[in-house]
Amino acid sequence: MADAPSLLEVEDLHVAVRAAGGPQEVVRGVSFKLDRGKAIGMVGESGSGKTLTTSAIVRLLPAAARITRGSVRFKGEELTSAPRRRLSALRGKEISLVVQDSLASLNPIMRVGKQVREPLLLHRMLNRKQGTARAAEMLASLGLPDPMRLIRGYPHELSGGMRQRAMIATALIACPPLVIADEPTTALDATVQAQIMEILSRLNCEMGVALILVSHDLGVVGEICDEIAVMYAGRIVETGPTRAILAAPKHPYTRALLESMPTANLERGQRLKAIQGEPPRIEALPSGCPFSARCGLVMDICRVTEPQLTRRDQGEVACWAAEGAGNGTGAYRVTAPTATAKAAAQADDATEREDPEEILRVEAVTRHFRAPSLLPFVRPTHVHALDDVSIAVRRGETLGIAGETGCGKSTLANCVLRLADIDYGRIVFRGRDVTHVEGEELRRLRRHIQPIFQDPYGSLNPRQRVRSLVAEPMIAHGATASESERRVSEVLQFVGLGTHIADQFPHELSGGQRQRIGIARAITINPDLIVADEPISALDVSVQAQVLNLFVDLQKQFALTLVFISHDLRSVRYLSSHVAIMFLGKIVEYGPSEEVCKNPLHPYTVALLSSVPGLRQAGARERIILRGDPPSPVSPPSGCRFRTRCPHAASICAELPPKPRVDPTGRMVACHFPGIVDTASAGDVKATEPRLSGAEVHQA
Amino acid sequence: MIGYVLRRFALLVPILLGITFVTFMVSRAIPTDPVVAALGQQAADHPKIVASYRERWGLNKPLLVQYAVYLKNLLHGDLGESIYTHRPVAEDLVSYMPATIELASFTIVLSALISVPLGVLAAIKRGTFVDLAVRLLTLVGVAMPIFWLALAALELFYFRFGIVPGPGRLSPSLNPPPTVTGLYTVDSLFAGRWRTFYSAASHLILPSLILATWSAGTLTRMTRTSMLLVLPQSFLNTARSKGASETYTILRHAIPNAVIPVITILGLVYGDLLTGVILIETLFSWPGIGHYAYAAAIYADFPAIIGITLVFGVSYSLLNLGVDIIYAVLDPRIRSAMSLGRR
Repeated sequence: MADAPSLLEVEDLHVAVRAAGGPQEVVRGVSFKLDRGKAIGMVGESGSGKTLTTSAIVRLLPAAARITRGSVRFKGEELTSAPRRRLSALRGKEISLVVQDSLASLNPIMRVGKQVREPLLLHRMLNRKQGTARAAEMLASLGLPDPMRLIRGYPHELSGGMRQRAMIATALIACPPLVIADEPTTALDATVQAQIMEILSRLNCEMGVALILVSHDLGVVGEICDEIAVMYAGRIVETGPTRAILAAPKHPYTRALLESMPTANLERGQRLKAIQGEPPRIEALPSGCPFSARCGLVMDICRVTEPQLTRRDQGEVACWAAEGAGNGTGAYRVTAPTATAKAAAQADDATEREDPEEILRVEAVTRHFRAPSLLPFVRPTHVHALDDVSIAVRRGETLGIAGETGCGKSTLANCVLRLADIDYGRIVFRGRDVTHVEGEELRRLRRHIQPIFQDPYGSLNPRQRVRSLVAEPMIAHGATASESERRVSEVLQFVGLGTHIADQFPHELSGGQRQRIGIARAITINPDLIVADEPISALDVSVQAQVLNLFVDLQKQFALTLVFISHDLRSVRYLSSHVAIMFLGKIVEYGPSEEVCKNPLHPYTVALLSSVPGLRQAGARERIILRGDPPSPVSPPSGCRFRTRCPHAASICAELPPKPRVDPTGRMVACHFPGIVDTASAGDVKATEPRLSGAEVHQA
Repeated sequence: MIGYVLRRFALLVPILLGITFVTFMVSRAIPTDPVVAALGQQAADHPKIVASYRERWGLNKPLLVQYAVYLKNLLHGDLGESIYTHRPVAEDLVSYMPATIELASFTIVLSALISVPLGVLAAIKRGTFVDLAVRLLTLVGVAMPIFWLALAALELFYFRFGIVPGPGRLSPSLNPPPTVTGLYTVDSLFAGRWRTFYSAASHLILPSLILATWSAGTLTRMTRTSMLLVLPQSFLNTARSKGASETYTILRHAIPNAVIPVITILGLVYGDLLTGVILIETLFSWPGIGHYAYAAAIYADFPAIIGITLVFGVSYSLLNLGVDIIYAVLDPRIRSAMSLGRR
C-alpha cells in the first residue's frame, strides 16, 4: 500500500505567467497527494493560484502561463511532459473538469445532449445513439426532470443550476476516477448551491470518484472534503484533515479566513476578525512570508525568510509563529460576546422599544416588468417583479432583505431609491408620500436616501478622481468647495482609506477600496437612509469581512438606518436588526433577524437557512434541500408561489395565496402552515430528506 | 419561426412602397427633362411634338396621379416601357439581372471559400508571421482600386499569357444555352452542354477573382476578428477537457460560433456585389444590370431607373431576410427569441 502510487501526486509545481517585466511565478511550489475516492479542497482568495494549479494538472493553462518546474503524476504517469495526444486521451476519460461559469463553459449553439455525450464519442466508448441514451440517464441521475427534452435543448434555455448539473454530467459520463471542480457553486443561488454540493458529495462518497474542489469558501469545502489545502500567494500555507483545520487552524491566515465568516453564534454588532489589507498582488510579493503584511502575529523572521511547510500534528503548516510554540491560538478565536457587546445590543433593543421615527414605509408596492420582446409587433409579457410588498424601517434599524436571484430584492431597492417606478402602492419617507415626487423635489429627496451598489467598478465614473467622486453628492446638494474638501478627507479616513487616495482614479484601486469609496460617497451628506444592494458580493472573503465591519461601525457611530440587500444570509443575519425573506416578488417572512434565524416559520426560510454552510446549526435542525429551481416570475404558480418547491405543500397551497399573518411582536409570515417544520412531529421533518434524496437515487 | 418569416415578408410591402415613392418623386424633381433626353434637343424645340409626347407618356397629369398609375401597373408586373430601349422595363431587367446574379454569386462563394479559412488561420496564429501576412494581404485587397486591378489583370492574364478568356460571358463561337434560370453555368448544365459550361465558367473566373480581392479582404478581417472573440471562451476549454484534440476543438466548437457574425457581412457584401459591379461589368463587357443602370442614368430613362431601384431594394431586403433566417438556423438563442415573440 505504501509503495502503490497515489491517484494524483503533485510535487513542487511551479507555474509562471508571461508579464511585462518577464515571467512571473504565480504558483510557487505546490505539492499534494490525492488517493482514490478521496476529496481535497483547495481554498484561497482571488490570485492565490488555486485555479492555475488545477489547470496545470490537466495542462489547460491559459496561453500566457506555463509550467516551469515540478511534476504532476497521475496513476504514476508524468503529465507535465506528456505529449498532447496522451493528454487528450486522459482528459474526459480519466480526469474531468467542472468549472465555475456554466453558461460560458457550454457551447451556445450545440444541443445539451450532444455536449454531454461528447466525451464518450471522443474516446470512442459508445456510438452516438448509445451516447445520447447514456447522457439522458446521466442527467436523470443528477435529479434533472424530463431529460429527454433537456438533451434536445440549448444551454441558454437551462437555468444556472440545470446547466451546472449538465456540466457535472459531462464530467462524469465517462466514469473518470478523478474530477476537478473549480468553484462549481459560485454564482448559484443558495438553495441550488446546496443541490450541487449534495451531488458532488454523493459522487465522492457513493461512486468513489476522487475530487479536487476549488473554492474561496471554507464552509463549502468543509462540507465535502476529507482534506483541505489553504493557498495564499501561489503556495499552500496549510494543509491537513478537514476536521483538524476547521477545529484548530494553525496558520494565522486560515484562522482569519474562518473568523471572517459571520457564523451562527456571532452576536450582532460584534466586529468580525477581519484580515487587514488585501490579498497581495502576485507581481509585488513582499519578501519573507507573503502574509506577513496582514498578519497579527508577525515576527522579525517573517519579513525576511519565507517559511516552508512543516508537519505539525495531523497536518502541515508554513508559518514561523506556528513553528514556535502553538501559543496565540486562543488569542485569535472569536471570544464569547463580551459584557459590553451585550450591553450595546441591549441598549439597541431599548432604543427600539421607544419607537423611534419611522424612516421608510413601503405599502403594498407592486411592480410589473414588461419582458423585453426582441421583435416588433409582439405583445410583451409581464413579469411580476414585486407583488404587494410592504416593509417599514425605523431610525437606527437595519433591515436585511434576503432572497435568491429574481426574487425582486434589487427591484425593491430601485423602487425605494425612486430609480424605478411602481405600478401600485405607496412609498412613504419620513411620513411623506414620495411615490410620485418629481424634479426638484425628487432631487431633494435623494439627498436623504443614498445608494451603495454591488459593482464598485461599474458604479464609479472611471474618469473622475476619488476626491470628486466622493464630493459629488455634496456639491450636487450645494456644499462649498472648502466644506466638501474637509468632509472628503474626514469620510475617507472613516472608511479606512488614507487621504492620499483622493487623487487616484477608480481603476488604480482594488475592489475593496472601490467599495469603500462607494460607501464614503453614500455617507458624506449624512443621509437618513442608505440602501445597499449586494454591497459585498463582488469582494474577496477577507475583504468582505472588512466591509461588513465598516457597516457595523457606521451603525454604531451614526445610528445609520440601512436597507441591506444580499443573497448571503450569513451577512444579512449578522448585520440586520430585522430581516425580510423574499421569494418571487413577495415577502414570505419578516421579523427581528435573531428570531427569524433561530425560529424560522416559513419553509422557504428554513430551506434557505439550512443551505448556508455556516448557519445550519443555528437555523434548521435538519438539512433541507429544495428540488428544482425557482419558478419563472413570468408565470408564477397559482396560490402560494413557493408551493412547487415546498416539501409541505398541500392542496390548499395551490388554491389560495397565503395571507400574511402578523403576530403581536410584529413577526410576519405568509404561509398556510407556518412553523410546520418546527411544530410538526420530528418524524415529518426527518422524512423530508430521505424522500428527496431517495427520489434522486431512484431515478439513477 | 414560420410566423416570423411571414411577418418579415409582410414588412417588405411598406419598404418597397417607400422605395418606389421616393425614387418616383426624386426622378420627377431633378431638373433633367425626359422629353429632351428622349427626343433630342431639336424635337424638344417643337412645342407640338413635346405636348404629344407628354400626352402619350402621361407626363401632363398631376404627379400623384402619375404615381398611382405607376403603382397600379406595378401590381400587374408592368414596370413601364423604357424610354431608351423601347422595351418593357420588366423584360429588360429579366434579361440583364441573371448575368449580374451569376457574377455576384460566383464571387461571393469564392470569397467565402478564401476568407473563412484564411481568417481562422490568422486568428489561431495570432501575432505570428502567418497572421501578419494574411492581414497585409487583406489590406492590399481592400485598398486596391478595382478598375486598376481589372485592367492590369486583363492585360496580364488575357493579352499576355492568354490563360483566361477575354471579356463577355461566353466564347463568341458558342450560343447561349436555353434559358431556365438565366445563369449560363446552371443552364448549360441543365442542357448537358459541357463545352458551354466550361466556357461560361472560365469567363467568370477573372472578373469574379478581381471582385473577390475586395470582398474576401473584408470577409477575412471579419472572420479573424470574430474568431479572436471566440477563441478565449471557456467552452473551448471544456471541449479540450473532454479529451478533444486542438483541431477538433477548432473545427467543431470554435468555427461554428465564429462564422455567425460573418454571415451578416456576407449578406451585405453580396448586396453590394449585386448592385455595384458597374465598373467590372463595363470593363469585361458583361451584359448585367450595372450596364443597364449606367445606360438608364445617362438617358434619364425614368421607368428603367425606378425599375432598377426597385430590383435593388428587393434584393437588399430579401438578402437581409435571408441573413436573419440563416442566423436563426445557426444560433438557437436567436431562434428562441423569435418563438418567445410569437407567444
